[in-house]
Amino acid sequence: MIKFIIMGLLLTLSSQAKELTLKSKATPFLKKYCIECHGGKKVKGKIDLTKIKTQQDLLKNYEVFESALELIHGKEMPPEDDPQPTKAEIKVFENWYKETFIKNVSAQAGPAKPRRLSVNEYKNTMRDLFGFELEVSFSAAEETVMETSLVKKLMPLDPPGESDFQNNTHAVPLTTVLWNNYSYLADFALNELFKKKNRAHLEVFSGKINGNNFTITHSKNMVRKFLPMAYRRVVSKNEINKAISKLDQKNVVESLKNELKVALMSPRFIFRGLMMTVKEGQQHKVDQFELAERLSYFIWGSMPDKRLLSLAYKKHLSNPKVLKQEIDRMVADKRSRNLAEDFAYQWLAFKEMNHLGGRVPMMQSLQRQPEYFFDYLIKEDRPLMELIDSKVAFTNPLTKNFYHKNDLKSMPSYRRAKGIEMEYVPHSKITLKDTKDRGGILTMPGLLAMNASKGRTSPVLRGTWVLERILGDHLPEAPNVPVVPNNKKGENLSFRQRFERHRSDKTCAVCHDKIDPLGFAMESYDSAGKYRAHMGGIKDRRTKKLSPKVAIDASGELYGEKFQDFNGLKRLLLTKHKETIIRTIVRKSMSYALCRKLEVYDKEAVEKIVYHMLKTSGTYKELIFAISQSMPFQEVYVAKEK
Amino acid sequence: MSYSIDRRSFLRGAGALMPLPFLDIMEASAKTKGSSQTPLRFVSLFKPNGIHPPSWNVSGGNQKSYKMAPLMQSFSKHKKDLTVFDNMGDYGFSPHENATRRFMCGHHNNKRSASMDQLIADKIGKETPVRSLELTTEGLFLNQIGCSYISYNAKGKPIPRNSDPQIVFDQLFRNPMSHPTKRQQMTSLLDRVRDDAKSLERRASSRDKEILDQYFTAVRETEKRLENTKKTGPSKVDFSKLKRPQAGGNMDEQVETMLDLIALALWTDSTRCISYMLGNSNSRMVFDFLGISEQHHYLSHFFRNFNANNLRALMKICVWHMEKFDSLLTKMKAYKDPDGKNVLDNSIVLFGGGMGHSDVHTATRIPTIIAGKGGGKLEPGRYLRYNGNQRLAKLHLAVLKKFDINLKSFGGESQALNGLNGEKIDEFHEKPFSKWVKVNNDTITVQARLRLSDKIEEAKVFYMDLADGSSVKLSVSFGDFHKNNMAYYSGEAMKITGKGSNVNGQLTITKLTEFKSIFGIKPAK
Repeated sequence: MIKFIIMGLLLTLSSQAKELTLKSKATPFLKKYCIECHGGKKVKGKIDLTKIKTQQDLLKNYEVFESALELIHGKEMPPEDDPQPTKAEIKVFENWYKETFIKNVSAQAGPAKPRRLSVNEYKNTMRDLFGFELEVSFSAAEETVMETSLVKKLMPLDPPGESDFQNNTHAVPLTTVLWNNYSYLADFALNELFKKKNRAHLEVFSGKINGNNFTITHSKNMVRKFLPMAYRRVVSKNEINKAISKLDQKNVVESLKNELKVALMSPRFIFRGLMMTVKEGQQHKVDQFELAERLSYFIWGSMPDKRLLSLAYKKHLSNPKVLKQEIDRMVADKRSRNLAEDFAYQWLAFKEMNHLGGRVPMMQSLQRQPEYFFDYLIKEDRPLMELIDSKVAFTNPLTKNFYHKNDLKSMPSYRRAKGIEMEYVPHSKITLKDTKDRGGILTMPGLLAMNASKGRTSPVLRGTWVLERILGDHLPEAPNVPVVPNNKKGENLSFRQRFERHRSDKTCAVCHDKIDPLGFAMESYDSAGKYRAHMGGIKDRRTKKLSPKVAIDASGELYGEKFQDFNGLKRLLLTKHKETIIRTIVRKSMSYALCRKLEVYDKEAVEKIVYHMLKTSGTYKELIFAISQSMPFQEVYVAKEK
Repeated sequence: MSYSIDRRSFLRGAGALMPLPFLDIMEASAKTKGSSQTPLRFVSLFKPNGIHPPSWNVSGGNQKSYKMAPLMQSFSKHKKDLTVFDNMGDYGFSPHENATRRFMCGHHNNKRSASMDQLIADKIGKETPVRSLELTTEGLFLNQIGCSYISYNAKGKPIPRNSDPQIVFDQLFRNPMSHPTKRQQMTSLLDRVRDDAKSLERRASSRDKEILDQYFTAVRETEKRLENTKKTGPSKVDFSKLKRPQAGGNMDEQVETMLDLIALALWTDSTRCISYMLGNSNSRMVFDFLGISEQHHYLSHFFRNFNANNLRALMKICVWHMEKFDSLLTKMKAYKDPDGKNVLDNSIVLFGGGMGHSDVHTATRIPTIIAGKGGGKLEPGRYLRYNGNQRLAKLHLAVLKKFDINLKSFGGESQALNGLNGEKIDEFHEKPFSKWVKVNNDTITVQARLRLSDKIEEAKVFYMDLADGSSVKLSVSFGDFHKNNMAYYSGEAMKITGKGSNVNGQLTITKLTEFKSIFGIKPAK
């Protein structure tokens, strides 16, 4: 009985509508039109306005209000069936928005907050510090996948941070698990370094070694050279001497290994930005070593090399000309492939292709295609918009059938050896002339295939992917709705028709009006990513009857503009939506470069780059340069200690 | 009492292939541990891609007296330690994925319970520093992920495997928690590191202090754990005397090193339960170190991709698998337990797979051997051919019993298999038939059981053994061999007529004129 009463009490408590506590000029508007679904009775789309209580919360959540304003202008919110705000009311809201998020916010650099190297950064840093990759010992077996990096095998995966990128490690604490792994990996690397096969790498630090005679002099040399590289900045004489004093004449190698391990376990090595010079209560340029580090972790996902550090030491990196030269050099270096394999991999969700199923070499071939393509855009300095449309593609024997045979003539010939069932072969670059249905990232077979499920295309997944990853929209979590029903008896509606009827609900329309035209335009590609003009015509296993063959309707309307087919949509994206796409590219790159979520005070810097890129049809290298010159990248703001 | 190693047998057994790093353990004065009871261990070794039945199946014989099949020659010296099972399996056919699950889960549909090795580890794993090891040789085969796992947890989910001997070695013998020297090193390192971080603290702002706090916490926690292990006392063997294995050269060296580690881990009582896959169950491995350039899976379809070279290559791979089994047993025998017996005597080793015929994927006559005396609980040295299919689950139940795990049912079976310790079994009885040979000029007619030559490289040479101990050899053209599907009839009672002669006292048929199964056996269409 008592239990029952308590249950009832809880029920009344939780069903009580929560109040908006935020005090601002927008409060009446929010209370009248928004709160009911966003924090009052319901929390739709994960937006809970009752959680925004202070001015600080407000600024942190600027994107919520940015998209709210867009939705209100587009008459997408409040939903059609609900009371609509008057023009005057909208004006008040808009003024409040401008005042709060534009006028009263001045551009500002981000805070100086140290963070742990991400697993990817740690792996690359160890590789570049030691000169060799830390690998699992393995026998390569055909058609299997194995994590060959010892670091990646042992370290727990970094969750994506607020920025959606894994290099935003601020929220992930150092645990004993990580600590043990750092210790293990340091031992492992140091053991490897002293092996015969790594003599050349050892001598980089120790100087020439005669025979096996590793002397205390070698040891001292090593400390002097290793520490600044590991700490990625100048190390004081005192500190060097302290480490040298610990070296043991009788036990040269072991005592040296111990000192080097201390360096590898030091927070200076494990964290980034910890040693940066900061001036309290000021916004100021970051020191040169920090700048070198920001640059190298952005482009290479790894530590600065000797040249960068020496330029930093000479304070040359503040010279834009030098910086430009360095960016050219760094992009040309093979390490810049990190931008494809880590940055684009996360941004464009290449990881999803791991779940493609099918045989491993095929999966690998599909996954590498966009990686090759993105690396090409960067290394060959292509304009930003070529991400969407390009005459260049990369293919290998397993993926070549997606392209017209005339375009494949430049591929090297390949013959599968006897007894080999299937194997991955590196991709080669082809020029698309006769292939009319490919070009750009949207029509990469692997990406089309990953946004499908169980042998059926998914216009929703495909549309959402384009909307979020390319057009930079933030969609709320989809409500739990039942699947699209099959044709009832006597009905002969296409999937698209049934789908459209199914989602005619007004709240659904808010998102689906944007998602669906994108997704259905991509229906011209089947669930494996193959181009098709028709669907159906498939023999039923039981009845042996052919299903009706229907022409694909890939036409649609995006933000009021009509298009006939996928290529029509692509043209729209390249013209009408060029600015939006460039903004997405800039924002994603910037947030990866800064290793943090973009804040309202970054907006000015971002917009400056967007307009510059738009005006000049800027290239990827120009974008990298622009970011590295921008205030958020170059400067830091340090609040006064209380 | 001290641990001792029979040095001679160690060297002889492993031969030239043995990676040497462990040799100096023999010089090490290993201390014995306190407990007097010698533990019982469990090891499983999985052979991928089914089997080539003509060279695996035992032709006739009985429990105590049987002739080991050609492929078994590689480990024939362990005959007394082996229980060879025949007629293990299920009905019908088996995709690779099911075959893998079946190996230790009793049945391919048993997807919601732990595999038998994990049940054993649950029971005995708490007493050792490492609960169990799950090992393999190659990466994951993604499109049939089940092909990559034999060990499953209580929810039926696959357990990640390790393939790098160095990592396994470090896990066993270089863990700072189990290793006094390492522990000492870690303690002094912690002091240095803390010292270094302290110097940073002085210049740090409160934002940085947050980071440094995290750092110091990790240091303190590690210290605490070191303190705690010190209290529980050091392990019985001085691990610092063990040399870390070199990173493997080829596949063979890597596997040999892993087998070394398995034996060593058992002997040092670091763990008592190990599963090891010699490959994914549909392995596409290319055995280049055996001079083979075709993939294993392709070759294992020896009928579909039939030619003499492919068959020779497949035999080489199968022999390699058999040699690794031999190697494991030899290594286990080289270590003596405190009770004076060797490690194999105190173990149960399951060797085999989950698939019979590798080309047609049958689930019958699955290669299954148990090695070891199980601490006296088994009576090896026998060949057990059961009457009718025995599902692997029955064998698993019987093995689990030896570890005092008495399950009501496992993999849908409730009856444990009889025979492991010599109890009576429902034996397969051969139909009697007479064996004879008639020679008429150059025509030889012989009635006996057909068997493949013991020399595995002679993949198309057969013998028919007569009652008096002599035999007739069949060495025919490839055309004759192929046309008559000779390999299929290996092990069957046949009446064969052909042209031939007496070559140095050996009756030999070189051309077939009549080839007939006495009991009307025919290949399935």
